[in-house]
Amino acid sequence: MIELDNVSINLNKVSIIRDVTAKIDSKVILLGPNGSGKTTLLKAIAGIIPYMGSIRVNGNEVKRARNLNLLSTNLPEAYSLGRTVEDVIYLYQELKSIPESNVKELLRSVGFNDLKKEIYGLSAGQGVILRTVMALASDPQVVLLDEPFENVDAAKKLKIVQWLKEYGKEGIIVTHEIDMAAMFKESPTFMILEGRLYGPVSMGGLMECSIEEGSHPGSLMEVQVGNRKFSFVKEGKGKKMKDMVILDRIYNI
Amino acid sequence: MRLIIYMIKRLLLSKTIWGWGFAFVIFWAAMGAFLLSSDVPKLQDVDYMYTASWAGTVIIFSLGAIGTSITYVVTYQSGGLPHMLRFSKLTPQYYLLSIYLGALVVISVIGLITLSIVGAMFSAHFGIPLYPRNMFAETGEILLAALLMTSLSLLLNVAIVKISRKAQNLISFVPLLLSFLFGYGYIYLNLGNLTYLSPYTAIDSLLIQGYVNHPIPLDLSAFVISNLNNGQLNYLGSLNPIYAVLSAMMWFLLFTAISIPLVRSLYYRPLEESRIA
Repeated sequence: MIELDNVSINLNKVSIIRDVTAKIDSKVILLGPNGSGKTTLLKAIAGIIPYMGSIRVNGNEVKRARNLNLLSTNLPEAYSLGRTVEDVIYLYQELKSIPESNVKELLRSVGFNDLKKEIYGLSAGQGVILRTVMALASDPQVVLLDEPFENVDAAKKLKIVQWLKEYGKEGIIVTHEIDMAAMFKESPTFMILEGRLYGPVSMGGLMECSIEEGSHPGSLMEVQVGNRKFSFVKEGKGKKMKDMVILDRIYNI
Repeated sequence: MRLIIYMIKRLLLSKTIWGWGFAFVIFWAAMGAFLLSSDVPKLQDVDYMYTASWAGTVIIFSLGAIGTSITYVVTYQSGGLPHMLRFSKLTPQYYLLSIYLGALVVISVIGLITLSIVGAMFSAHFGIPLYPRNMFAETGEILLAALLMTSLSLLLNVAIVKISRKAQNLISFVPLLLSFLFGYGYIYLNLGNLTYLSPYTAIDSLLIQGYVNHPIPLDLSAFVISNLNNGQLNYLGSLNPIYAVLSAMMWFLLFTAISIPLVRSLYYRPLEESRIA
């Protein structure tokens, strides 16, 4: 379980996350426009950057966590110990207790056979696939996945969806891809806007909503952008989220 | 164990380490053997001291170059440490051990080959065998030097990540700069008891003493300047190797003791922070 209590994060004296409180005990989807703080929040939970407030993973404060082999991530910062794909697999199998066969089997299933390649020589999509496989292959209790579909071709995206459903018991999946997010209808969904966290609401319910300005009784969720308030309304008149194709469009409210 | 094997393999196969830590110092040794030795009389004891002082100095240069390479290894690996120390089996002790053992192996291999080549070159020039007389001591001193240099490199890099990567380009070369400063300083300046205090000169003096296998002067500079050219080996005050060993060990333990808590408290800093343009 991930517990966030009054978490704030400043990077280079700029406030990125403001006073976020949430409890996450299943696999949740995190939505938000570029620069809203999604990746920053994942980095703080993964212990990569400092934070204020309290972040606990299974009751352990991340700041003070030591050798808690129960959380994995696909954030690139976590995979700096090896030089080639082979090195990363070799080292992380030991350090993260990843079963010998799992990684290569998962990589083979998406046609990834170039294990001698340097990490920096991988294409953007290959990098995402490798890191997502490394994060999931140990079947960790908690997974933190940042854009696991980014730059990945359509066929492999479906394979990744299958992995996300199969591996990892709880955690956060950040994505901009509405068609992929829609495959997790039952998943609680959070949204970050201007450093504030909204939700959770069900992804299935959110897909049926349209966005209306102001407060609406019975709305699924209300968010604030600048000084304006917007509601996600189930029976609203506007275009439904599921028809927006690119999720980024909803952020230009 | 895998991290240790990986480090040894990667460091041993590094072209940068072989280029700067071996080929470059062999160039300096060749200068010492064939070009800068014209005034050195062909007397066995004097030639041995001359060869030993070059051997000690080039080993220190080699260590400085390898130390700088190791700071870069840590630079690129440090991004993952904050996450891995919290959410994997990695501990600061295991990480430090892998770096130390990797460095020990590569420095021992390069150090022993360098000593053999230095011995061969100086023997060829002076026409008498001038190989290290106490290989056991030399090997031990190279191992101690490796630990010392690696612990310094690691500490410097961890400090960079902790404070700001903006200082990266300056601080990474500190091991190399200090090796030249103290390497030449020991030969040409009277450092007195500072010889024991500086880890570089402590190691340099031990390497020289192990090479000739008899006591050497504490003030090597006076010896070099006044006695070398007239063929005399008279000097006041010999180096106490126990003090030098204790000094080197103290520095190694101090650097390591500071590094462990610093590694534990690291957070990620982007490599781009050190970009100039």
